[in-house]
Amino acid sequence: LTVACCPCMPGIPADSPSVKRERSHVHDAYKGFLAEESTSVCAAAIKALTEDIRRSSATTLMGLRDDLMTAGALLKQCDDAPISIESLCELFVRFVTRTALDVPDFDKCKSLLIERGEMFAQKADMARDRIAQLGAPFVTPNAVVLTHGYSRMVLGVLLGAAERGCHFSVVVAESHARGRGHATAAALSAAGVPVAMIEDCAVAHAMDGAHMTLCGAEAVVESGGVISQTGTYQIAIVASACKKPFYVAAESTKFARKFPLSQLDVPAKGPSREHSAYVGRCPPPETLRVEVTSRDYTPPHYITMLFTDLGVLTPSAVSDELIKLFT
Amino acid sequence: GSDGPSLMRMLDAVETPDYLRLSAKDLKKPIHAAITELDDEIATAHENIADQAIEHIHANEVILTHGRDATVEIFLRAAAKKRQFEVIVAETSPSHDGHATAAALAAAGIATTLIADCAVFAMMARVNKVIVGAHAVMANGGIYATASCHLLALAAHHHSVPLVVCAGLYRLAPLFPSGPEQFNSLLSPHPLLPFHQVDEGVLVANPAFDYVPPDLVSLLITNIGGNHPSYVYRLLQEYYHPDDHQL
Repeated sequence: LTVACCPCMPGIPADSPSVKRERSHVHDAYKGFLAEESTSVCAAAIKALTEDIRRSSATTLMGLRDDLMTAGALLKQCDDAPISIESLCELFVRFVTRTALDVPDFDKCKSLLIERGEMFAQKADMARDRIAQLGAPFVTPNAVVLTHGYSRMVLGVLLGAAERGCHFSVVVAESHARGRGHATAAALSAAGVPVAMIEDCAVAHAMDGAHMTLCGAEAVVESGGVISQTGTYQIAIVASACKKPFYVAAESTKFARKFPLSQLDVPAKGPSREHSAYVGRCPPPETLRVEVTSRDYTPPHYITMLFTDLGVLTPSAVSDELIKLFT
Repeated sequence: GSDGPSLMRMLDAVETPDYLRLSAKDLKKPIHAAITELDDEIATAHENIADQAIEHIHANEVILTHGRDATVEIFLRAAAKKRQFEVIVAETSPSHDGHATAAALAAAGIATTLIADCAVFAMMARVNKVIVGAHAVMANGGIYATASCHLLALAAHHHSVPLVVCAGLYRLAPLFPSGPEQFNSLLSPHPLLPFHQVDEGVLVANPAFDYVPPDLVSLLITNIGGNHPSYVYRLLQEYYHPDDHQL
């Protein structure tokens, strides 16, 4: 019999009432913010963390710091938590440390922290507009843009380009596993952009007719590569083979302190889902091993440019930014 | 240090100053000083680049160049004072700027050979380095150079010959190009096909510049030293305020 222990409070079983209560607060807050239409995943996480600071009953900065770490660890276990939750937490914790030197009074420090957290969340919300502003000029008139899955940042860039009066068309790969491509196609059609829907296996076939590829990311890692929905790596390889630029749109809050060396280093836990090959079919035989991967890692040499709210960055510039932040 | 946005400053409540509301009284002197500094930089750029010449050109090397660029000419002449090497100049039709370059280099005592543009690929096997100038260095590390530079770059890449670009930092632009047509202009078609010879129905294009993508450029020699094109984003941060990227 194994009892799951809460990772941050060793010795306390994970389903003890105090931990359960905390978890539900943070999870509920996060899910609540995520449900808002215009809030991105990162902004929702920041708001949930700020909320946690507000409810914290700590009386010292160390206590506040511990509460933040706990909340971060609990959020990580949430199903659709962003991979960059760790770096978001670290940003907050570092800020606490820095503020502690300037503002010795605890109450002032706590209210300053909450104020800055809200400002941070606001900035994260505005990131989408900034990325759209920076990325839209890259969509040239009569271009065919290839994309897949659903990313608010990618949609921001494409809708931003459409608003500027650029005439272009989009080819969306369905992303069969969760069918997220359909949401992208619907949003683009509603804005009057001509959209073609293709199956994931047809990406290589469609690549010759495309002028550029644009994808979102779940995390941008230290090497300048990205971790994103399965299928992104494939599209990057095909784009490189066909000599088409491959662009990634991601906010700076997605920068994470990770350095995957291969696909095996990508955090395995993603949103749980059924294996799409067996939906509507009889279950596979016992001896057949069935794999469900939700994320893959795209190395930096396949990425032409990253559109972030810190500017248009080359993959080498990403490592520079991360070094500036974490040293 | 850079003024640009960064993760470090995300949590700082920095009020961005409203530049339009600052008093102009105290600005005249600093602006004047900055312009003088920029003027000096442009005036001394050629010398600073030429000072690095002997590090990059070695004895008995064969250098390929094209077009007419003062920076490259001064660079090669500075190296010729200390080393023996050969230069092959592609004539760069239809302007034939290569002719003037070849004459100038020969006058400086360098063993020079003039070739037609179509011979570039064939000669590339014997070349140690390709040294060209740039009209502009773009934010992604790519360059706009005299037309036919992309040809040279591709031939060099095929033969694994390094492409060295000599350009002062004043040529740095905070713009991202989407291809050769974007920041280009078309020159008069007359040198290519004289007006009196033209028949109806022939479209003559004489582009002024070529776009060379960053992966074909091996080294960028500027007045502050040699850098890889992937470093251009850093130079940009130091030279341009992020608000000035889009004027």
